[in-house]
Amino acid sequence: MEAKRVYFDSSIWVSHVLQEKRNNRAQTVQQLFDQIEEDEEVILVSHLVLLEVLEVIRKRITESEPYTDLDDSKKKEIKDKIQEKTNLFLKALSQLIREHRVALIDSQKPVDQWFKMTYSIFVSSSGGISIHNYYPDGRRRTLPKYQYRGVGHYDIQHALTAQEFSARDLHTFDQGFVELEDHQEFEGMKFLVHG
Amino acid sequence: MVVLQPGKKWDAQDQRERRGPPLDIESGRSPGETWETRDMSVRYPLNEIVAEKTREWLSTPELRPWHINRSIDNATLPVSALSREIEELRQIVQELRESNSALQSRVSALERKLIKETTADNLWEISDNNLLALEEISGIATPPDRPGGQDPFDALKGLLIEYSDETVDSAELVKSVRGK
Repeated sequence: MEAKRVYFDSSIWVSHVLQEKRNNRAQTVQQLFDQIEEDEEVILVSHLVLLEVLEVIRKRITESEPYTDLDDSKKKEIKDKIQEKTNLFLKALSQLIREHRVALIDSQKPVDQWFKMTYSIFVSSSGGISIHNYYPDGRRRTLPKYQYRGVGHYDIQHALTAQEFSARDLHTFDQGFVELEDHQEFEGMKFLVHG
Repeated sequence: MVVLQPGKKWDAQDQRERRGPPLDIESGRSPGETWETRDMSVRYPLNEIVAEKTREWLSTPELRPWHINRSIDNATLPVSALSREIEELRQIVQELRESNSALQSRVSALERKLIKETTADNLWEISDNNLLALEEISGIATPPDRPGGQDPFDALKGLLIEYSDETVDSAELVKSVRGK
């Protein structure tokens, strides 16, 4: 019997490498990995996920570095740290791919068809508008502003890739995927949006 | 009775009116005129002709309604038939449209299924090829055995722990690179 497949969105991998404390997400991810190992399922990771995780690594390391000054030496120091972590990530992931516990996938569809499908789903989902009262650092805005929240084209492409490779579930911490749950294109695939 | 040509009848009436006093409207006779003289065509009043024609018409056996209705039916039959035919054709077009749409959906679904099954069947072939490409691009070669015997999932766990804190939000970090 063929192993079942699950797609992990980038947020799952980021949460795992950061051991995220928010809402016990790190534990949630660990339980997912354990369950998948137990059920001998396969985790799908797309090139899109891989690139997003590597980009988060770059940004997080750079932005977490305590400021002293900025010269070539400092730039090199930060870049070396990024390279080191990137290599470690790629080595571990490659090992998982080699062991066929993780499959590295990308869409096999022609690019024009791929974007046609993405566009078709994008235009059929309108998203929502809400009031945004706080700055990212938690301070309250003197004047509230409107905020658009809806499914993004990257979300759609993750879901399309998962669907193309017959993923049973798509796991994520990104609420944006909720909007795709009832879309006809993704019939038969469950979007598991964790807290 | 002498039947007058319409033109002559009016000529006769004109002449009469010029000659004598106006007609008695009720009887159609001019003053002093007697019924004996009415046989004369010239004196024959118009309303008497109308009355006579009306009597003739009333004494004629009444036409059956279907004669009249039939003539109307004959006039409207092609229109109603055309309307009916148009309606039927519209119905057929609608049915064809629906069946065409259903067929198109079926073809698309089969195409998707074919691609999906082909893709699904080739999962490890695709993945292995992607791994080779990744190794080539990154310059990282994957050894056949696990380095240090460590499980790769464990190697990933907490890889960036020194860059984490209480406030870190994986969903927001990912959104930031998705341009949201």
